Amino acid sequence: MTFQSFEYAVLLLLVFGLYWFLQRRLQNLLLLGASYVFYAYVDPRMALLLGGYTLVSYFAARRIENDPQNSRRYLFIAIAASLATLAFFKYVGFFVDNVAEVLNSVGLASFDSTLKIILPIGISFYTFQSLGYVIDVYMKRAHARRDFLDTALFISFFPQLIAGPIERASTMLPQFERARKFSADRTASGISLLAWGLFKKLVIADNVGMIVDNIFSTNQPGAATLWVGVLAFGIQILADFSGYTDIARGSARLLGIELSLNFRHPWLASSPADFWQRWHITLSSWLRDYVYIPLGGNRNQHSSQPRRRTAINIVITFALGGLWHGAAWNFVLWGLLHAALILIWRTVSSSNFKSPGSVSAILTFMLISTSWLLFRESDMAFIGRNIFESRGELQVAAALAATTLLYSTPLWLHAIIDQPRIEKLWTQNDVSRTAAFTALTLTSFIGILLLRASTSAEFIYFRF
Amino acid sequence: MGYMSLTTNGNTETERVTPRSVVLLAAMIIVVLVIPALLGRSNTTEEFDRSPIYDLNIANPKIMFFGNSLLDNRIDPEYISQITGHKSISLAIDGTGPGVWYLQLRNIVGATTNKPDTVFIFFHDDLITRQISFTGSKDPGLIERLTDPDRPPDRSATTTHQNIAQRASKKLAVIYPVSSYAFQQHFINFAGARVIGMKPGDIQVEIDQLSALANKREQAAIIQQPKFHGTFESTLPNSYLPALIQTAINIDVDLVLIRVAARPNQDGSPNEPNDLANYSSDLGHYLAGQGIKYMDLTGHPGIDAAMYYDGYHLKHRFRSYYTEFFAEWLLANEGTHP
Repeated sequence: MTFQSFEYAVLLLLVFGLYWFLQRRLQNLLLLGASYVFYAYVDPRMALLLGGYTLVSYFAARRIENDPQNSRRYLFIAIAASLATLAFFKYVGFFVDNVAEVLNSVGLASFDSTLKIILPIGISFYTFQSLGYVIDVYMKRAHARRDFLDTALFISFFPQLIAGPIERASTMLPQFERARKFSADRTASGISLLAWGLFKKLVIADNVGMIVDNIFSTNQPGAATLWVGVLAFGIQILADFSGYTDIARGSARLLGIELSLNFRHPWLASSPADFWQRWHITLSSWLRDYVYIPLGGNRNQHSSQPRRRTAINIVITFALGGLWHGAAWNFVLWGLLHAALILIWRTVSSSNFKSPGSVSAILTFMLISTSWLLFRESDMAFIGRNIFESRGELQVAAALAATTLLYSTPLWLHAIIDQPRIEKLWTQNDVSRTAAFTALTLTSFIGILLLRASTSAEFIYFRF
Repeated sequence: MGYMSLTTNGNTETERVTPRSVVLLAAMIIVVLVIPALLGRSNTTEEFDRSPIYDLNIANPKIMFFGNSLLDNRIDPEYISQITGHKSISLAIDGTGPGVWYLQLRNIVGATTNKPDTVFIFFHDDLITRQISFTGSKDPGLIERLTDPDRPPDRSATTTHQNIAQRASKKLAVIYPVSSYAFQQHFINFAGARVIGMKPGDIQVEIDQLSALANKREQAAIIQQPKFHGTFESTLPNSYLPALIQTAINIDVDLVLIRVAARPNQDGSPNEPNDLANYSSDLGHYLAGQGIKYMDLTGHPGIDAAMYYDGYHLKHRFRSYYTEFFAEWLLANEGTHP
């Protein structure tokens, strides 16, 4: 079930209608039921997988807490089970393909490597979320819940189940364990967020996506057009993914649950490292807390070469981050490119060279935009063929760039007005707040009615 | 009040519900739902357009083609006229379906003084028994222009049996007429062209040249797959097909249905699931019983995957080839009476 579907609207309205008449446990039961309906809607078998993750996380966390002497063993079992499942569904095909290619190239063997394994939607997200819970219990950052219902809901909560934000037990479980009461202000805010997210998806992402698809489906777009396609993809993926996140957060807010912020105007980033504190924040903080820091992070005083050790940690973390996105070399390269950008930026910044903030922001924007090429395109031959080839298509490229930038205008406007001092103006009292929410929702709704794309593509991050 | 912001994390404290906050929320919902409903509302309906009837009376075609873009990029009616020696005309309208074709047959062709001998309808997959008037965005104005108030149709050109989502979407279009102006994004696309000082038409030509049909990459993911919406028996009763056949009988024209092939697989085999193959077989039996000619081009050796632009449309340069191929079939089947 996708957020832009009629079925989702019905589900959300039904849940919202019932939810506020129920006591806490019944509220949670309703949310759990709705979450499994939401997830099993396309393929009921997927619900079994989700249930399996829930059982593993619940019992592993309980055993870790109740049996401290063997806690490491239970942690290992939970991590191994979760990652093996993820690897099977997401990476086996990639691995076999590569092995086959190597063997075929050296003439050792020849076999058809085509494996057809269906990728369960959202598996990367709930694998990380459930793993985070077990690790947090092991690290004593959270305690294992006795209530199976709350744990199951934490892992399957439908607004954020299939594309995040990747939540932590310490922020989500207390919300499920607390009585929730209807708030008119919160509802108004949730509706606005939902409408704004839908606008970003249906108007910006889907329309710009058509330009992107057109360019990348052309065999020889030429360099200028290809780079416009890359720029457009940067806008598409931001509108698509942050749109998804806003719909998720808006839906959850209607139910009295606050999800984590996942985007903070990444275009305004002043460095590649700053970008990762603004883009897919819950993934980057997950990787920081569960991969980078356990590897040693940037505290390598005991290492003979601490700077080198830190650099290795960054490279490993970003390579894994790239691989998390998809089982393909272009994602690994994309992750490694980001690691390289961060390391080079660090080196330059640590020297005496200083640049004005705006120059840093523009440079960061250009570097990050460039990196999207590897994210969007897996065919390296296509990239190599077109990246520097001029085909005299400058006018087309300029027109497509202008169109793309026009579509992105609402995102820039939002970045400008979403500043604390401006927010103060409209949050002064309940009337000004309601007026602001009304204006945003109304504009988004009319924009969707008038400007939505003829077809709505699947959310990009659903494939991860 | 952190949750008031759209981009910062909110607090999770419960709030007291006051009558004032409920009134404000209700006011917000009313404004958001009502104002868009007032936009684009018009009481005027478009009138029945008789000009195609006059044009057809003057042209006096013997062969006529109905369909959508799949027909348009396969058949050149002027070339058919040259090859066969019979005046041919295409009434293809992009994005249309059987509901529109029924109105065209009944109210346009049926109202001409000199009727064609044969009407060919081109469709894909199971479109001929789908209860729709448009395959793409809806154009209520077209339905109004094709509806003769003096000759109310035997069957409404609106869908009868729809699922809940389709009915809700239809209701939404009634409540919010502005949504019929949907897909206005070309204004923004043209604005992009104007920003760089180009005319919209020129930019379209440039873009067409850039992404010329021969310049498309092989990307399986973007190739449309054949669509199946139910068995022939289950979809026939509520479809426009019986009304189309009855209208053809009433106005005394021969109806011929042509089912175009989806893009074959790379190995040349037909890209057609068993359900659709069974559908086509059942349709053929039904039409034979009604005395209607039927040609299914799925698996035809003269059409290969390389000729396709996408899942259904042919590359432009193969239009003449297809037209010749079709004209030869016509001639082999005794001119306009296959």
